[in-house]
Amino acid sequence: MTTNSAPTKDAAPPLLGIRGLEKRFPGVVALDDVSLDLAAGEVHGLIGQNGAGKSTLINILSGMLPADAGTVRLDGAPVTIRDPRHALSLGVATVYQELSLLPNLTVAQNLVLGREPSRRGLLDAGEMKARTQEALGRLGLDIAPQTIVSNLSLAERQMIEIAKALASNPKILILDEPTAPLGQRESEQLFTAIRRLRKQGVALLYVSHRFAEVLELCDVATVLRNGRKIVTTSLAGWSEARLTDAMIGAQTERYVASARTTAQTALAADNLRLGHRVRGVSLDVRRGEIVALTGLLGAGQNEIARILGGDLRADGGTLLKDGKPIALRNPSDAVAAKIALLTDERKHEGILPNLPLRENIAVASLGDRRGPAGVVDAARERREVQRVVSDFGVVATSIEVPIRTLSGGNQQKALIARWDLADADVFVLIEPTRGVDVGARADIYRRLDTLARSGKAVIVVSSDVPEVLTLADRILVVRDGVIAAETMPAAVDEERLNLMIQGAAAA
Amino acid sequence: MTASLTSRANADKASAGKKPPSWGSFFARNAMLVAAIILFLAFVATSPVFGTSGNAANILRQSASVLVLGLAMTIVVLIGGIDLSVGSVVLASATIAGIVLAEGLHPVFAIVAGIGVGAIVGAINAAMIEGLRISPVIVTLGTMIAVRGFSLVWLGRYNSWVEIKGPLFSDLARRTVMGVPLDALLALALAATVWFVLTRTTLGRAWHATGDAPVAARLAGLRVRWLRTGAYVACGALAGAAGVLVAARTGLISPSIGQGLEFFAIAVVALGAGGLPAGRVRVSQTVIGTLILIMIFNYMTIRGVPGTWQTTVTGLLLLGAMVAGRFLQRDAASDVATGEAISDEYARMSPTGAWLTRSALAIATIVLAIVFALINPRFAIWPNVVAIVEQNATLAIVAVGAMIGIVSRSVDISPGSVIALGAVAAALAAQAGVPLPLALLAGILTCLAVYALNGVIVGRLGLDPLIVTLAAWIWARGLAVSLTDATTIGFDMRFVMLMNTPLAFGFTLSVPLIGLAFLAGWIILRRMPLGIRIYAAGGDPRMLRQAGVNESRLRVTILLAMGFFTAAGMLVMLGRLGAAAPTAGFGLELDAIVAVILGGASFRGGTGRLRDTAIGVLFLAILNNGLSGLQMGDAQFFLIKGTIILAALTLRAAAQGFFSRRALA
Repeated sequence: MTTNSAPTKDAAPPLLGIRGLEKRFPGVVALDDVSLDLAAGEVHGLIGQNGAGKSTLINILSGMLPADAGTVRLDGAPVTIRDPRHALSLGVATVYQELSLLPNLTVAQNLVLGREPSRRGLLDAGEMKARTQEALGRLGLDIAPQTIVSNLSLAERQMIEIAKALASNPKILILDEPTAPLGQRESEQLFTAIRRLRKQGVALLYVSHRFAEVLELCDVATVLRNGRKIVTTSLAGWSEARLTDAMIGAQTERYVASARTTAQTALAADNLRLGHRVRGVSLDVRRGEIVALTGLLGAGQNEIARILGGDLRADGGTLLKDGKPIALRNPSDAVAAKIALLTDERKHEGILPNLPLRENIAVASLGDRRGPAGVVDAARERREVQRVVSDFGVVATSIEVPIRTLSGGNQQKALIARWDLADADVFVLIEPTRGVDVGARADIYRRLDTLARSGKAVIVVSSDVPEVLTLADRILVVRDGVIAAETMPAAVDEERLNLMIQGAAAA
Repeated sequence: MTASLTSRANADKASAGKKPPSWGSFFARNAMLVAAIILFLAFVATSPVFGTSGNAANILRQSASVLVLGLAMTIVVLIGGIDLSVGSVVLASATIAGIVLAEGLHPVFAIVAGIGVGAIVGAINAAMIEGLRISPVIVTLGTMIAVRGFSLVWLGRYNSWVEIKGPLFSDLARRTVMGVPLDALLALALAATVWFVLTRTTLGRAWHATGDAPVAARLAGLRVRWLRTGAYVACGALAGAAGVLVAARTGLISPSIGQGLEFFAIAVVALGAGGLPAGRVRVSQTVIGTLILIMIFNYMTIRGVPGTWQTTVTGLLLLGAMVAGRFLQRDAASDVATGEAISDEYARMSPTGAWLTRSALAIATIVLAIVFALINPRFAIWPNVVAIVEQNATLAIVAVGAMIGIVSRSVDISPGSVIALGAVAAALAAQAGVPLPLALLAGILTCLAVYALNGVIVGRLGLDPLIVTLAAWIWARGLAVSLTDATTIGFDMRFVMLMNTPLAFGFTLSVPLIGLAFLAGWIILRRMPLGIRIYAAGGDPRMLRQAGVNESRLRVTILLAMGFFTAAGMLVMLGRLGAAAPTAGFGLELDAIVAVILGGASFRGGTGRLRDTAIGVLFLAILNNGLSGLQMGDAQFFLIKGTIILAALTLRAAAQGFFSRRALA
């Protein structure tokens, strides 16, 4: 592997120079001795799998997180970025993944929020308009400053996000997966704007999972893996396959789940539709099987899972549970049909934070232990909760501690235990290891394997390619709201699956 | 699975509470119990009467109905709601029970009827809160007024005077069991029952889960909306039971029954729990809170403090409990119950829907005017047009402040009480010989001081503005009553003349003041940097942090700005009435909030236009004037007005639901 280290211009210091950056979280080294240079007028790609350290790097540069060690230099001068406001004043602006505009305000109002131009206490409307038009003009946008944001298309809003970042006149602009919510044509618009910024001398750090984009747009790319920098290289002569290789590493261990025996179909969906997010999806899952749904951010896999769990109501389509048609109007219908949904928003949609572990596990099956007059059979509850707690290896000093005091991994295992106790036989999990430290991941994989072996049907939504390959019996690749491909872990490797997800190669 | 997935379970460290319980944490967890014991000892030590067994029985007796109301409130706070109508339900229940008795039916029917009325009000509340997703604060403020009106209409048919006679009722009032009054025993039995339901049954479990994390509870298969509905019905039924106890205790049903009891109910829950934390209030805490409140009342009576101070003390205790609770439970998640946590699946309106809903209000306003003009020949004449504007000048001015509050998600329910307090301060100053301008200044500064205090508490401690201003709603009103001994104080005639002299077309200074208020509102919202931040604070406070705006300072600024409108409203009301009445401005907060909401602003903040608020104000102004022109009593007025307001809100919510598109996550 070519490892031509970063600094090539030795005369003037680079605009942004990072040396030996380090960040540790309990149990994880998120960044380990990462160095990187960014020059004015450069588009620098940042590539890595989930958990490679990209987000941590962005968060440090934008002032959301302090670094544990290492230096950041701007124009050669060392700086410590204290908070987001400080980052802005230093000329580092970030466009985050999630849209951060106020939909009821105008474009101009959104752009000046926090830095409103004023004269004698009143808004300086002329200056406001001028600033807005300047920022829009730099992106080549023809949008009236008075437009209410909610009347704009998704692509236009994403452009306004960038314009908002530009309104502080940054020297360095960080873009975190800016094309995730955009379609092909809208992405092209964005690229044009980015090239325009490059000409204006802005340094761009461009984070993306879509390699085709990176190759098209970036001059240089840095690949991170497990918190370490693998390479910084000019992209001339690179292909998507080569980038994938660099991202995954040559000697990747292959996990293949030993074959599970699958039985009859537990859940079958036919032609599910939901707006433009899910456009005719059919799938089925058998007892004893783990099916993975994977795709790029926003491809529709989360919505499919939420439909199966009764959280979102499909516009159309049919569902068969054990061969019988069911209608899911809300989650309690799904629970009655013995379908469990564990979403990626564990903190808000999973745990009952202040209630004890015991009640958290018992909540989905309260009716099973109801005695006369609705009284809970407390002894039986304690016994059964204790049983699943030890079955699923939830580590806690007692079943009476508030669940918020447990680690992410233990919370997740407790939620799986909740649904096992409720006797669910179809488990739908969205990103089950998000926010779970590396050590606990394998443990969760093992629990899911145990579930499947005990005859449950498991659907896992994951954008983590190694995770998908580890867990699944069958892989469904979701693209633009449809299932674009189906494959088996044995039939693909990480590189190939990545390419399938990107849409570069059909199965 | 392969060997590469060998157990790493021990890597998953148990970070669960390992610390041994210390004395400090014991006090933090049982602060209110400790406070109750200290209070008790202090009272016994300083008063020879307090510790006697006769007085103990008194305390228990006084506690009975407050405890039952506290239990009712405990249930709705537990599920993340609030119910301000419980005081009116007490009146309704007592009235109906009294009437059933007066008609010669068996006392059991009277008790069932009283509880039933409460349950029905609870069901109406629930239908509007859960069915139409209107904020529980607004809905129950509305039913508070409507139910009081309803009860007064019934009571009026019996010359506002129903005597309670009947074997069961006199037992409740007089019997004691081993020295303990029967009604206190009954209240304790109800407390034990509610405790049992909340801690031992599946229903109680589901309520806890719903309050703690509604979205998670829904995904765990609980029917969250039905559970909340059940809680409101249970709350209403318990409030009805409290009404029966009150009826038995007083023996005579009169229009003043139940007034202010909603304050006590909220206060005892907050006193026990250190705030109103959804999912975490406990019956034992409410019992302790009740004892603290009633012990303090009892001690005040013994010490000769007039009863008019009770409300003030209640409000200040509520505030103190919340602030203290905030300090003691810094680490715990803090969902204060305002119903805003319920906002999981509110939808956004389409532009067409918003336009239609808005025009619908304008049309409704015109229709209302035409109806009044048809049934009352004196409605559509110029002097009455003048009267419509003049009578509602205070409302119009305060509504601008309310709009700023609602847009920035700093909803304020204190303006009515603060106006009363400010007017009383000005009048007392004038009475003491302070020159007129300084007396007016004293009034204005009083209003601003309350808002500054609220602002600092909201901004610095991050408490929900709704709850903080709820405390001010109680204590400011109480203070106004206490300071005047519930009497009206006349004000300087020069000011009264100034405010009541017609300038042109019969209009007085009020009209330019209204204009000025709207102009100021427009400048703040549209022409100042603050305006953008106000919309941002309501739309999505995270954006403020990203943009580097200091949110806590912004909240103080917003509340102070609202204070100016309230102060201006106070001046107009003082001038119009010519006197400071401690009851002035009652219900003003609801009118102001309703005007803004009817105008199309979302209670969740971030949206709303001043001109729509103006239409909302006009609607209410015509309603107020038209109804009072019909020469009806207070009772009918409240009933009809409450009903029309609720109907209008219902229509608005329904239209919103009809036109909204469900936004995908």
